[in-house]
Amino acid sequence: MVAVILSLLRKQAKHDALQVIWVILAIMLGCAGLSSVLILNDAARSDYQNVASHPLAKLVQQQPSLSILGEISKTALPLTRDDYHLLRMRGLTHAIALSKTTLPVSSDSNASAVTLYGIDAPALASLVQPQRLGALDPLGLLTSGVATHRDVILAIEHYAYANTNAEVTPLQIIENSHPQTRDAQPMGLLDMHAYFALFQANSVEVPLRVVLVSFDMQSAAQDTLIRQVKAQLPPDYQLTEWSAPIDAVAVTQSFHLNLLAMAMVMFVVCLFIVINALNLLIAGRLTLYRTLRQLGVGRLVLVKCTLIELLVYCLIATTIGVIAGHFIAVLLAPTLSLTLAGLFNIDIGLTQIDGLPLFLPVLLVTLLATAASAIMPLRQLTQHLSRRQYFSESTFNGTSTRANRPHLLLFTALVLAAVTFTLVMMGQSLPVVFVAIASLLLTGIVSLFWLYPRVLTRLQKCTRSCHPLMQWSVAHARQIGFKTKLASAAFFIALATHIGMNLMVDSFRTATLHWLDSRLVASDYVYGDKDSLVELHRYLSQQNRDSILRYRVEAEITPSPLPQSSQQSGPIRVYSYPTNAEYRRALADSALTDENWALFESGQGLLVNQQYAIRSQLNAGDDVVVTINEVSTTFRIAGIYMDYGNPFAQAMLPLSAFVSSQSAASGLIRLAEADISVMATALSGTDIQLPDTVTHYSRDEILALSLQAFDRTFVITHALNIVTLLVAVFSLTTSILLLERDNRHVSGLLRSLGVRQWQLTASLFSQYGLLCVVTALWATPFGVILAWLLTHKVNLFAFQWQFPLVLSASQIAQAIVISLAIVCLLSLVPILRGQRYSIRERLQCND
Amino acid sequence: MQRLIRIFSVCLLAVLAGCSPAPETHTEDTEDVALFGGLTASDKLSSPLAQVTKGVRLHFPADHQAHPDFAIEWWYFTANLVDADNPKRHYSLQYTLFRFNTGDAVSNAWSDGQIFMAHAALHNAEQHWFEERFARAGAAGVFQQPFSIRLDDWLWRAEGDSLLPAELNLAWADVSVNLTLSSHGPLVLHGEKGYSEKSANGSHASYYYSQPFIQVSGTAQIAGEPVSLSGQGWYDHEWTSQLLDENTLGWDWFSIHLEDGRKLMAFRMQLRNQLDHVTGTLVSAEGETRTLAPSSITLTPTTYSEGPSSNRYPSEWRIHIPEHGIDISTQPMKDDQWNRGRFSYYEGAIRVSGTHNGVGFMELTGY
Repeated sequence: MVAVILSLLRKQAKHDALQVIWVILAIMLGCAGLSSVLILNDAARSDYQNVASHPLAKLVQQQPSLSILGEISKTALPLTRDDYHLLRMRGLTHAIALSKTTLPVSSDSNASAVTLYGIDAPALASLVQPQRLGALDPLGLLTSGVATHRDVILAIEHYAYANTNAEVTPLQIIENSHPQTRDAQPMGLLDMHAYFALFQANSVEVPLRVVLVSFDMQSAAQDTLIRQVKAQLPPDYQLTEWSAPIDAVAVTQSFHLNLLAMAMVMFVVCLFIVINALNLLIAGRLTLYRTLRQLGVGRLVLVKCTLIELLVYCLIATTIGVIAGHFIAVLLAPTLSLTLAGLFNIDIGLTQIDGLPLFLPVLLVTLLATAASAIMPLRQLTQHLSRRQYFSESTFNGTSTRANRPHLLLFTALVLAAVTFTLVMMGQSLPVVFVAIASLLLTGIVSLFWLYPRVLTRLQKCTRSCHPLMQWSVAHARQIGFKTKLASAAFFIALATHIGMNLMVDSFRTATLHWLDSRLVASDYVYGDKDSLVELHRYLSQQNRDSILRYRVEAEITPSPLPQSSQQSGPIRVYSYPTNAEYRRALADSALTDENWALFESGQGLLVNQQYAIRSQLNAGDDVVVTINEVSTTFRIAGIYMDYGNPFAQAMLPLSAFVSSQSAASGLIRLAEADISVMATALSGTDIQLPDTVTHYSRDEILALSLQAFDRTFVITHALNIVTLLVAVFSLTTSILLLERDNRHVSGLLRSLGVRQWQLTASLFSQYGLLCVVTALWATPFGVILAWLLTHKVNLFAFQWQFPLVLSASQIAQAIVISLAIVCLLSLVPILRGQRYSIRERLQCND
Repeated sequence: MQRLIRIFSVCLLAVLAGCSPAPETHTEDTEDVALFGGLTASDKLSSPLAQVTKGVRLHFPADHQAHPDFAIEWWYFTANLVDADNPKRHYSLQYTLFRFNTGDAVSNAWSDGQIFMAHAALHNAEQHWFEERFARAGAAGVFQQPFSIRLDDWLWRAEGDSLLPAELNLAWADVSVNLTLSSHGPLVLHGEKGYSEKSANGSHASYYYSQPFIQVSGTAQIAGEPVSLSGQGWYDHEWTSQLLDENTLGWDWFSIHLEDGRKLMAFRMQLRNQLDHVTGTLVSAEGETRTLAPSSITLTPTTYSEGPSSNRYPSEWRIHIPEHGIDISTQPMKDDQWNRGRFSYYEGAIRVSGTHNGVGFMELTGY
């Protein structure tokens, strides 16, 4: 029996090709989104392993005794060149430094980006003892190598040009010889000297990755090495073994969480489409189902067969979806790498994608979600095919009466609102805030269901009886509001998220721009090695030009008295800060009182960045002990300054604490202990010839570069936002298709009563438009609340910084108008599609 | 890579000298040309390198430091040691730091255009522990205050800006060495006040001084077993840009502690199309130096052995300095004292007998 029914359904599917494709497309969209995010997340997470294993792949391949045991990191700061040298001088000679960068390549090539790795080739060569040399000696990287990839040469030349005098260094390309990595972006391996020459000419603060490499060691010896390294590491360093689960830092976790949350929003929206698409499919087959019932086929058999059919669609859609997800991930990876490498030090290399481990969980999630989505349509189908329902006049429209009870809806909305409020007020972690966001969106949806009929009832009452078509339109809009509630919910989520994210990004951009504008006091900034900067500073002083050296040291900062629950957080960077009036004005956001500024000026006060203050629960006025090279001095926190985009804790001391040993902070920081990292001076438009060892940026250049980096960072957010919105629109269109089918006889009746086709089209269009406008207007306040949650809660817990929410009417209007425009345009498709039926055909249609 | 091989090879070549009783001329057909054939000064060296010139006075402690404008430089320490609990049990130690000017046009935050290579070797009668390391400036180099010679955790660390007294700490494989070094004599300038000619026609030269009067004591941990060590050490520091050419083929070099307290440095330099250049320095127990003209010293191989790549090398020598009544023979303390680095060379302890007894080191390259 089942086989016969399945055969019938298969044949029917040919007739319902559009609906079937619609279902598959809906599932596929969800799968593609989910799998692409899973791939990207996985690639980012495993970057800690892949970063070294891939550039070293060729070496490893030819040096089978070489293996990577783990990664050394610092508790609170990125590792720099000096840290690396310190490690090696402590005898950690198996620690090898790596750095990487991803470059875009020319558009006429197959690859869209290339990842270049710098490696400390001499250090690696020290491990590979000559008597055990394989085919490739790491020393070869110092002077030779064959650049075999045209795109890489282009990229290198481009950067060499950008770095003016940097020499184009021969490059060794790691060939993607493994089948699973063949599609991955090409990678190049350079000696660190060449890498620095090309990309980081004069910065000693380039974040490094330091991996622990063993050569020719049995596993027991490797274990011994790991134990030795752990014992030898300075207190604020740690070794993460690669055989153990990667304990990513909080920033990275938030990145994964953010991406996953976005994917879940998209997946949930897709489920709404699946429900609608299933309704559409089932509605189209009602005649067949009824006939089969009349022939004595049981309802359960029909449900079972429909589920089997769905299973087949799931398999097809998941397969295509995972493949599409892979392509999306590959497409997004270079952009993500370019934008996130700086912010999170993550590289989305996508060098290894295992099909089956990805396909199986996605399939499982899809099957469960599709089964859940199918419950409502199938339940309605069984009710519809019951003897009682069969003789009733009802149509299959995918609605449930239970959810239409207004008091229940209102009560649910109020409860959800209370839950949301409680979570927001009490929640002290990122996952709780995400739950609060989900609860907020649910509150919005439930309240929308409650609100919508009330708004239309009021509107209906306001409509004059002399306009019967208008009255019918409003009444019908109210009716379809129930029928399209799932699609409306999807649209609501997408739009509220869209508004929330846009407001958050806009506020962040405004805050960053303002912050940069006020903080960049000097007209020019010069970065380079200490000696060159000191020399340049001296020269500029002789030329009567203003210049300021900025010093940096690493210091342990502990609250005084030490709270009982405090944890050792490791050293943080302390920078010098001038005490001129203009530099004080640059800290206007920090709300520094005259008293506190005087404290800072006198060398008794310390400024800390917001991240550090929040993490360490410090406030202005608190005392802290600053320890530099075992010399401890107590300071009072004079102020907390904004430091957007910096994931690390930081503090500032007056310039005098660095320059003069006779200052109030006497002897705290001797010049010999401080690194000079930045010099601010007036150089633009002068004929001063800067040495090659320094890099010069004008204020405008820094501003432009910073905003460029900022905008790139949020490209992916915007992309996901738009995708979610499109998916919601897709859902709404599906719903309208279903309605159009349901209402075909009604429209036929209206046409037969003399209503013209254009009037009918306009009327239907206004009904759907009304639905969308109400949804959009209701989504707006929820979007604003969401934006507040993102700026004040998510950012606080994820990055430990906050910025004021800017309610830009233009941003909100833009989001609403664009969304409505897309919805309206797409809703025309089913409306216009309905026009092809004659009045007779419409009237005959009573399904 | 080829450039680096050249630089390293030349560097090793340049670790000095020797002589032969009947000066020999090396031509294009000489077998050893093949080994070092094509050794040319790097065409990548972007800025003109400093050249060794006669008449330059060396200043200390400033000249203990690196001279990065010169192509190559090395700080070379060797020690003939015995087990304090069993004086018949001999050990020999080598710690060397080489510096190369890589000629990279652009210096940056990672590199100043210099690369360092260090060798550490310890011999006892049965075993040889050797390791080769590389690093760029930062993790390696020679530092002023206190004076130190470092590559990673291999460290010669003096108390002030002078060479000695100092502590030497080395650890590699299952060996660690912690020695205290002190001097009981002055620095020795070779050649003409530190200007050391390496060829008869004066085309090759280096700045070269030594501290041959080093008293060594301390301990070693060998596979977890402590050994008390004491003995005599020899320190060389040399820098030049004039050995980076294809004419430098190899050398035979000796540093010898004679039992009467005198020290002898002698080398034979092998150059393409030139007679071997033989010279040396004899140092009295008080530190007075006598430069040995080529006519006053002969170095004669007396026994040949087979090296690790079946290469034939002179393992035993006769050193004859008639003017000073020295006629000695050298025998290696043990067979096979080749350092098998990327560029293998012989560096091993020797025993001296004849008119005088003593101990020392022999270095052979180009075989």
